[in-house]
Amino acid sequence: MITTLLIIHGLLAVTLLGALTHQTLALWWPARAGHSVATSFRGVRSQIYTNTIIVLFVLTAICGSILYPTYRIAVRPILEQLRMNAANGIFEFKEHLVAIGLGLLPAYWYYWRQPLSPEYAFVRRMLTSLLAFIVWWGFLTGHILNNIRGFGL
Amino acid sequence: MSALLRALPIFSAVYAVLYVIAMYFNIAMFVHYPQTGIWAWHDVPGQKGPAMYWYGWIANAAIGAAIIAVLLAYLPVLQRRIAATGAWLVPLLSMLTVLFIIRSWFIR
Repeated sequence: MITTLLIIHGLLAVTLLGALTHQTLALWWPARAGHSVATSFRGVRSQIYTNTIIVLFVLTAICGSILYPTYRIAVRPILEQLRMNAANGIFEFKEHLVAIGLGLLPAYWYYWRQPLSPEYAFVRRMLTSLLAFIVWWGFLTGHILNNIRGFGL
Repeated sequence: MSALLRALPIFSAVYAVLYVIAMYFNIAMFVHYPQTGIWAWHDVPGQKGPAMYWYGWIANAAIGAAIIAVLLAYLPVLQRRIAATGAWLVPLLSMLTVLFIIRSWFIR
């Protein structure tokens, strides 16, 4: 059950990561012309991602919150015994970032409503970038902790 | 309806502040004991295993922010520009504050 949920959590996170990265890059580095992979990656209609990102963020967070007690009793004590303080720290930060990210979603939805107001272009950039940072941090942290023995930390 | 919509960016800013306060002072609406699966409104002495307050911090921040945001949305003094800047700047500062609070994980 927990393993299945962990896989679902990971798949949701990957999808969310892709959607947010597309949107963030399209905002900061809009595609002008050309047919390269990088240009295509940035050349998306970023506003169509908004609702999907919100739903994915909430679903990923719900999965994570169900998994969290198992981490707390099965993984964290081992990390503490092994004195892997930095590993514990990056997870602690992830926990708080996700909580703050959940609170960001109402503002994110508000400023991405159609029609987009040009007045709030910078606000959209900042909110999207913050969410992208949170999701990237969460994804990398989960990946590192899941494979920490392989990393040799 | 428009006032409630205007409350959304304010919610994000207030929520971030309340979350950091709840986390720093450990003001949780409820507590969870994962070892025994017990949920309680307050700490239960003698419980086996660690206590988890994270869910309770989020609940406190969300409810508090909802109330404050709706009240502030009716205040004309809170200009839309301030709310827009606060919606991303306050959470960013909250993230940095959290990092400062938990710095001991990284420097000890």
